[in-house]
Amino acid sequence: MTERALLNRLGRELDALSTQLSARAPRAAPPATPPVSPLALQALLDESLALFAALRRRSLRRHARRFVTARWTLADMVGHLATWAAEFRRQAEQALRDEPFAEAIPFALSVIGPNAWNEARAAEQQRRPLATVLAEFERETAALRDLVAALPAESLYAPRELPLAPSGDPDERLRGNLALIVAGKCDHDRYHLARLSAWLDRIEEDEA
Amino acid sequence: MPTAETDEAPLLRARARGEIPADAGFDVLYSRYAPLVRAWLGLRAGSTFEDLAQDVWALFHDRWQRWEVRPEMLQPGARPVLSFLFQSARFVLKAHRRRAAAAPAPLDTMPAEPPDARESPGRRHEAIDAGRCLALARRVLREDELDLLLAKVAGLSAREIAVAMGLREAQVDHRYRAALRKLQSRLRVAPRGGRRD
Repeated sequence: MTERALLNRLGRELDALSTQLSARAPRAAPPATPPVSPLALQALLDESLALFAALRRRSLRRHARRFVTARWTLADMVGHLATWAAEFRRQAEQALRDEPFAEAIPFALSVIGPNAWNEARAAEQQRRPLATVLAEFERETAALRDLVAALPAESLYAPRELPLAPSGDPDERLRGNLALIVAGKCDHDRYHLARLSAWLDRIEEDEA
Repeated sequence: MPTAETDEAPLLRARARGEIPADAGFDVLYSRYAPLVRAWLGLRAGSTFEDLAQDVWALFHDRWQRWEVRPEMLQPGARPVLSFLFQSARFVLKAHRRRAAAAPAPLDTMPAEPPDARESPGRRHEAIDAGRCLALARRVLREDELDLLLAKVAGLSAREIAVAMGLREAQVDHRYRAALRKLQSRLRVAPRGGRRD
């Protein structure tokens, strides 16, 4: 059997299996309002880790001091991701212990994020080597994923008061749950990682 | 013979231009790919495949609402949606296994035999009636080799597989050849150009 014949045969068998399993399966309608299930949350965290691993395979060290935005370099952006990875993991563990959050993270002069809080953390991260910051993102994200894997579903969806205060008033905290924290972290990771990847594409294209 | 030959580019273009509502586009993609996602998961997860497939589709449903069309997604033969589904199926399956390993068994339902033996792939897959080549592939290939081979059969490019599996393109090709050789040797056939046994 040639390679082509073998592939054709595998393709036919896979088609047959697809048909067989779909015939047995209930004709479930596609989800209109998808729940973020515990497995889906872990999958999202694995996706963040995979996207980050793909970024790490690129020439980060060489471009670390280049500015990605008007204010932040590539190293700052990676530091920002690592800071939030640690913060989200810390929030998840604290919420799980049912400890109230003493401090708030107010959004100031921005509706998209807590700029003042971010700037202070970016300054702290600038003092650390890039390799340490990269490792921090991976360690903290994997820790959050393992936490999600070990938690009963009811802990993930129990309503809690979170530290984020999007109105800017520290007394007006966001109410949500651990699932919201995790999904929010993954959205945040994907947003920045996609833009960093596109930025590196442009830099490398210019160099070529 | 790729299982999913249809080009995704026209649908992605229409979605980007707002010519097709998100839900209508989702329905088209669900109809096109749901059986294949079931087969991928059915080969691994036994009877829980339908629940896992729903998780994969829930992830895609959410992503599809905010899908960003990048230029490489419109290249001929590109299948970014299938690629996303493939990667998500791998992650959801990993999560399923991680969660199963973490969950303590209630005392009154503790298995008499070790969990590994109860949940061995052979046992879990008994219900799935795969064809001869597919069954052999499941038995003799490592899981990542099987994933890679199935992705190739489904029509994903080496680049898409590399991204979905966290490999370099050269590794995809190398491992694909190795998996094929392993399978061919067990089928007692020679690789292309070789002597038939």
